[in-house]
Amino acid sequence: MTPLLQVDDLHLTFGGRDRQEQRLLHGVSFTVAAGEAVGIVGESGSGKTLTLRAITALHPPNARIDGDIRFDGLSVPAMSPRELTRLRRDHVGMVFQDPHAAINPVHRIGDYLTETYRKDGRKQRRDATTRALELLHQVRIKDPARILGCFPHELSGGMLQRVMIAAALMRGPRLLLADEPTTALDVTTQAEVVALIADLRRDRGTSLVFITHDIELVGALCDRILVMYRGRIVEQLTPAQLHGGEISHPYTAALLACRPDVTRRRDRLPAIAAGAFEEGWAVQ
Amino acid sequence: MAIVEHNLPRSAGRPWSGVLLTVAGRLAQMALTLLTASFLIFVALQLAPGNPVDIMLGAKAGDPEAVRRLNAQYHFDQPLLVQYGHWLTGLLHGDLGTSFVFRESVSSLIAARVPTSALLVAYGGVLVLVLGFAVGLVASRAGRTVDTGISVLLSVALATPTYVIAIVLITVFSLYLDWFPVFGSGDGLLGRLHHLTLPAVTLALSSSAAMARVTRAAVKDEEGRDHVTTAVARGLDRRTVLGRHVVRNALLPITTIAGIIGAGLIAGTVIVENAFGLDGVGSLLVQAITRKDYAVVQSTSVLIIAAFLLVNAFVDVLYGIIDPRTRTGGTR
Repeated sequence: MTPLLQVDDLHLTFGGRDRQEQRLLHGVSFTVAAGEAVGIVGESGSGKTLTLRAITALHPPNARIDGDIRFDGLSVPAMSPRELTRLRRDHVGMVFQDPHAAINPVHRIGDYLTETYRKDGRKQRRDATTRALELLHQVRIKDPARILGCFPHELSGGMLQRVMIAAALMRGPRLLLADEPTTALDVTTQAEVVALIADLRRDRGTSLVFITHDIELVGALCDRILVMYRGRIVEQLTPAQLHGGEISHPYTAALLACRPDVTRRRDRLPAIAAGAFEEGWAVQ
Repeated sequence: MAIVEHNLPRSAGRPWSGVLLTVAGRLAQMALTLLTASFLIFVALQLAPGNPVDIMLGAKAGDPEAVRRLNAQYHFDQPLLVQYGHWLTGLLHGDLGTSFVFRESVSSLIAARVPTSALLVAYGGVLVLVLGFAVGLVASRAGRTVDTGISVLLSVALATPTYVIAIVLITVFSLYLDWFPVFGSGDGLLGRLHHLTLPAVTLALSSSAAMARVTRAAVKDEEGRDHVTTAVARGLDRRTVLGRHVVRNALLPITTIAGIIGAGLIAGTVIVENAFGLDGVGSLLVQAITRKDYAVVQSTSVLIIAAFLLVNAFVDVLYGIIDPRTRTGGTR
C-alpha cells in the first residue's frame, strides 16, 4: 500500500545563479502512513518547519526544491496552482505556532472557521456553521455559539489555538500538519492542547506530522520520531526505543540531556553548541 | 458575511449607551477645539499689523470723526474679549456679521462659495482614493522594473510644488490641447466638474502619490504576515487571500493617511482656487486677509477648521469599522 505522504530525497536551496547557493535541506526522506503520527524534533534552524511547509508547497517562493513529495501518490511539486489550492483546502490541515499572529484579527471567529465555504451555496454555508459549532464543542470550547461572534483578540492564546485546530479539521483533512502548536502556550495549556490533538486524530484516523523541539512530548504523542539536525534526518526512533534508551545518534542523546528533569538537581542545563555534530556520526 | 449575530461580549448590557456616550464626548471635544481655535484666530487678527478702518476709509484715512464712527459701528473701540463675545453670540444666532469689503452678510458670502470648494475637495478626494490606491496596488503586485518606474514617478509627483503643477497643467491641457477651461467655475454639475478637473488634479496629484506609496508599503507589509500564510495554507484562492486578508488589513494604514490627506486637500484649496480663479471659500479667505476683512477671515477660518475636524471624526469612525481591536467601549 502506498503511504499517505512520501517525502523522497527532498533538497531545498536558496540563491543560485549569480548568488551564493545555500542549501538548507539535504535529502530528507520519510513516509507517513494513513492514520500514523510522526513527530519531527530538532533545534531551531534544523529544517523542521521548511520540511513541513514544503509538503503543501508553502516554502518561500525564492527557494528551489529538488526531490519529490507525494501525497496519496500524487506529486506535490508537479501540481498546478489550482490543484495545490484544493490539496491545501480539502486534504491537509495546518496548525501554526502563534495563534494570535496566524489568525487574521479583523474577522470574527465564525467567519474564520467557515471561510473556505464562502464560495459555496447557501446550504453548504449553513452546514459549515453547524459544523463549526460542533468542532468548537469537540475542541472543548464552552459556549461555542458566543465564540463564533467573537474577534480573535477577545480570546486567550489557548482558546485561539483550539479554534485553529477546529479550523484545520473543518473539511475533514486526511493529514494534519502541526508546526510547534504548543510553543506559544503556557505549560498547562500545552498539555491540554497536545491531549486534544491526540484524541481528535485518533477518533478520525487522521495522519499527523507534529513538529516540536520537545523530544519527550513527541515520544508521548507519536508513533514514530524523526530527529532532524542541520537539514538532515539523523535518526528515526519509535517511542519504545526512545524510552528504552536505544539511541544511536549523539545529537539525539544531547537533545534528551537538554531537558530539565524534576528528579535531578542541576545548576545548569547543558546546551548544544552550534555545529557540534557536524561530522556526522562521530561521537564527541 | 457575518454568519452569526449572537450577542457579543463587548455589547453586553445596554448596547447603545456606550456608543452614545462616545459620540457625545466626541462632539463636546470638537466644540471645544473650535472654540479655542476661533479665539486664537480672533486674537491673531488683532495682533496682525494694519488697520481695517484705514483700509475702509482709503483717502479719508486721517479724518478722526469718520474713524470714530466706523470704530463704533464695528465695535473696534471695545475690549478684545467683548468683541469676541459679540462674534460668538452672533455665530450662535446664525449671524456671522457683515463684510466691510463686500458690504454683504458674511453667511451669504460664504454660503455662495461653499459648493465650489466642497465639490473641489470631493473631486480631489475621489481622485486620490481611486488613483493613489490603484497605483499603489499595481506597484505592490508588479515586478521590479515597473515598481521602480512607478516609484520614480511618485517621487517626482510628491516633490513638485502645487503652483508648478498648476502652471504645467494649464499650459498643456488648456493652452495647447484646449481640453479644459483655465478660468471660472462653470454652470450645472457637468460644467462645474469640467471646470474643476484641472484644479482637482492639481490639488490631488501629490496627495495621490503619498497615497500610492502608503498603499504599496501597506500591502507589501501585510503580505508577509503570518495570517496571510495561514490563509494560503487553508486553500483559499489568490483573489480571496488578496482581498479578504491582504488589502482588507492594509486598509488600516491607508485610512490613517487618508485622514491626513483629507485635511491637506482642504488646506490646499486656498492655493488651488487662487491659481485657477475659482470663487470658493479658499480664495475668499485670501481676498479677505489681504483686505483685513476681519469678519470674513474669522468665519472662513473657523469653517475650514470645522471641515478638518469633521474629516478627522469620519476617519475615527472608519477606524472602528475596519479594525475591531480599536473599537471603544470595548472588551472590559
